[in-house]
Amino acid sequence: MGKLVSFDKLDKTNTPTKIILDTNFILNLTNRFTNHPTNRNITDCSNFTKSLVYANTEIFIPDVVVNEFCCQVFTTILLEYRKKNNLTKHILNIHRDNPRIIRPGHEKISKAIKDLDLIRSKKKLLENGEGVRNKALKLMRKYDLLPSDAYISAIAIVNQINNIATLDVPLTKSLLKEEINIYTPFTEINLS
Amino acid sequence: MTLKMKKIRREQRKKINALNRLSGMFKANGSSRIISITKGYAIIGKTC
Repeated sequence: MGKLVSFDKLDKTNTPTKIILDTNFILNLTNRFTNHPTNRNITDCSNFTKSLVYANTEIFIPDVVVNEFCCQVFTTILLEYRKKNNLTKHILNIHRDNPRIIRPGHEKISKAIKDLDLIRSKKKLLENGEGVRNKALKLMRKYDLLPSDAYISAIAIVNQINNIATLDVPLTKSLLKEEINIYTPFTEINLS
Repeated sequence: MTLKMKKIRREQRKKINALNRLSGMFKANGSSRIISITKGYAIIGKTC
């Protein structure tokens, strides 16, 4: 079993040398751009990342996480548009009918990526190929994970980065069984 | 402080500023080594 480390228990003995940041962690960290509705962990995620910076931890953000971040930025814009115009149709249909609505998101994404590039390691992750895909499919089946979660887990395992910062409880339970150490703001998680 | 240390600190400051811009928390304390947390978390799921 991997170790479960609460953010408030971070000290010199358990600070990771390398870590992958999961999507919901990034959505909290980039709240200014996403306006993510469940954002009460912004302070913790921000302060935790600052601790990693001061400890010279190598921070990795897989492209699948960047993909989900972009998706959230556009989702927020489409939801706001739907509310403002009292529409009831699905946001994907709103986008299909008028793709230009998401244009304000491009600038937000560019700014956020620029800053994310400053904090993340310059080293490249192995993020695709047969090895990663097969591992992701295996994890998806074994733990009933969603595709993005399975890919993030597979990327961690294939690249031998045994530390992930996440706020996703089901993913936490699966990863601990795969010998991955989990860093989370939750102080108590029922792992049974 | 050696030149190497100064360079490391400069890089760290750049990263801390980037984090503050991302979260919009410009007044957050970026100097504490061990972070403090507030109680009462929600379980956060994926939204997309």
